[in-house]
Amino acid sequence: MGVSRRDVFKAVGAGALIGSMGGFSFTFARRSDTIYLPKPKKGSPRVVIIGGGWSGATLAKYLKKHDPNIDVVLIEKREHFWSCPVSNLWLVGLVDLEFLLHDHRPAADKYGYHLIRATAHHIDRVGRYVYTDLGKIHYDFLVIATGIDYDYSQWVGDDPRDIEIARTRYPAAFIPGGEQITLKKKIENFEEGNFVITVPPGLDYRCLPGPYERATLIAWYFKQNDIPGKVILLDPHGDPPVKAEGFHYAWDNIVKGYIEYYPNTTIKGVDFGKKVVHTEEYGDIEFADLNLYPRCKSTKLVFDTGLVPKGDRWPALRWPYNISKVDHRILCTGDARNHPFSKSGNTANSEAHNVAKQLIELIKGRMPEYKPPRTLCYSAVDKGKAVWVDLTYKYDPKKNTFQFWNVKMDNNPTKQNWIAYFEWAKAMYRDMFT
Amino acid sequence: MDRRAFVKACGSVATLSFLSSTFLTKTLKAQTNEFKKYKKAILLNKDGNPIKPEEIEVGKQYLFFYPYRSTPAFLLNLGKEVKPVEVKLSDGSSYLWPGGVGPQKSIVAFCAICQHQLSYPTPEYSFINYYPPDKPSKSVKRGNVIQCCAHMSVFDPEKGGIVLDGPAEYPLLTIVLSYEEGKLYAVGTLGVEKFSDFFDAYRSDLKKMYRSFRKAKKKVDKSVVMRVEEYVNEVVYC
Repeated sequence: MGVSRRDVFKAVGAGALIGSMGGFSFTFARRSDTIYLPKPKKGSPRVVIIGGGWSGATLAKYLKKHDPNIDVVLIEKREHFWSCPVSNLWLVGLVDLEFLLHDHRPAADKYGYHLIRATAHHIDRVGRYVYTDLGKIHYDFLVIATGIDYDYSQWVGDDPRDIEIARTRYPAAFIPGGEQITLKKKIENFEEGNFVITVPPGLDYRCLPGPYERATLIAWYFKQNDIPGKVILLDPHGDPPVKAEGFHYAWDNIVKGYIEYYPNTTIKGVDFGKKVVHTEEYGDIEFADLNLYPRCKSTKLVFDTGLVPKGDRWPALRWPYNISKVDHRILCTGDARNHPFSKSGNTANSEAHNVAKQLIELIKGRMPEYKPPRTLCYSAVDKGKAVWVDLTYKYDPKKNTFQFWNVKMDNNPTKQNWIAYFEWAKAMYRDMFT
Repeated sequence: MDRRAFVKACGSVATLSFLSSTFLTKTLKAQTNEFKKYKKAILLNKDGNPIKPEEIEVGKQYLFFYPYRSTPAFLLNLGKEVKPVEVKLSDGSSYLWPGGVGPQKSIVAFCAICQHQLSYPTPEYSFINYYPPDKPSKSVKRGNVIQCCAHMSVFDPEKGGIVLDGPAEYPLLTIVLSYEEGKLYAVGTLGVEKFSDFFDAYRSDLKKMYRSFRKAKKKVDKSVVMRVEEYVNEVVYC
């Protein structure tokens, strides 16, 4: 359901307004001003979603599609959606940036959800308000889909100056935007020596095969451009958690001599001054440049809202659902969840489809049926060749655990998989933005 | 489609040879948005003559465009009688799928736009394809299925296009066929339509291909049947 111009002006009188339609952009509201937005009907329940990534963008669209009576507000700080999936290909020039960038606006207008370009910085759980730099907005249900942050405490320590160096000089580049631009420039300007890439420990980092795909493609880039460099991949795991056979094939056959794989690595620390990564098993690894991808954690907003138990890095949720254990009106979705799912775009999209239906039931005061998400993930291992894994998850209510289910994989790098990789992405973008 | 229009549509297709009275009754009792009548279109071979059932080889996948000029559909001869089945949807509703048509009642047709995220055969690529029994899908190790390689949705053409695996929520949309005096016709659709989403998603592509969006949305009254390999440059299997 769209919002008419008349509706918009009707709502202005009550206070500051952030228009959801093109042409309106009132940005003069103070932080404490209430943002009033027209609702489909008087009394329509409002769902506020913070974060317009794979989860938030999908959820906003499908909530409105399934129930136009719900007032949906998507708060997103970026002007455009920037896809993290496929971005490894962009880093080495195999796809244009335009392929990754998408506009929320057409879907917002078509399905009638409000889109606010703002940064959410505080949540008042008692009053049920989200505070943004443009004002505060009331919610009936709140979805936090703010993705990930990096936890440097393991490898860099707690000194803010060291963390600043890590963030700005050696960015992980798994959060789309400026840090990926920095990494792309590093790759393009690299002249010689070791280009060290780290894989975070555990399985709760964004994009399980992402560091391996990136390492493979950077090695491919060095080979293509006769750069006398080598990718050093430091991995706490014994093998890539997914698509190991496909990556090993590429390292042994396609980019041999341009990549060295160090499995079971324990990283003790990084000396930015000496340009050395200290490891338990392999001693000091010198680097000419470094792509430091540390352990992941929730964003500051999730911590500040009191959703993360002490000593943990992710919010406590009522499995199998995404509902917070401390506040039943708040859900954490996408990579912000604490479920042991692959933190990937496809999982977030698939989960958001399910959460949209669940939320509609929750709004009606009913506990929804649970359906686990799916994960289909392609990785390029050469120009024109890719591998994939496809799986879902099974929830065991007795043990309150999840396990991988119905796993299918193609570790043969083929042109057909490469073509399908692009169609996979295009279809996902279609699903979120048209 | 309102109830009145639906009843009118059902009345007009009631004369078709494949429609049993049971089918019509059950369909009428079912949701009123499942069957949609379009222009009756005769299916032609490449020479422009009405295609004969024996020209549709078992195990091959054919395309024709229906009900719009730009919306592709699969035409398959499954080589044996395909019986009507009840197709259940995730919302609890159901409809009776009429099964095959032709002398052996072995010919079926489905919209070739994936019900998940709308991948469809273009002159460049076809990600959604029929896998005959002797050429099974590698990923699900099963033949006689239609699979979309974009996100691995798998459909059963023998059971009304129901979802066997993957993320698609709905069965493939059926293109309802009739077989009259040795000729094959497409008469409408049965199931959950996504043409509106398709036209929204591919507006600019269709405009380029058909020179105008309006032309892409033109409904057809005849449609040429061709092998998928004749239309598509690269058929992508998985």
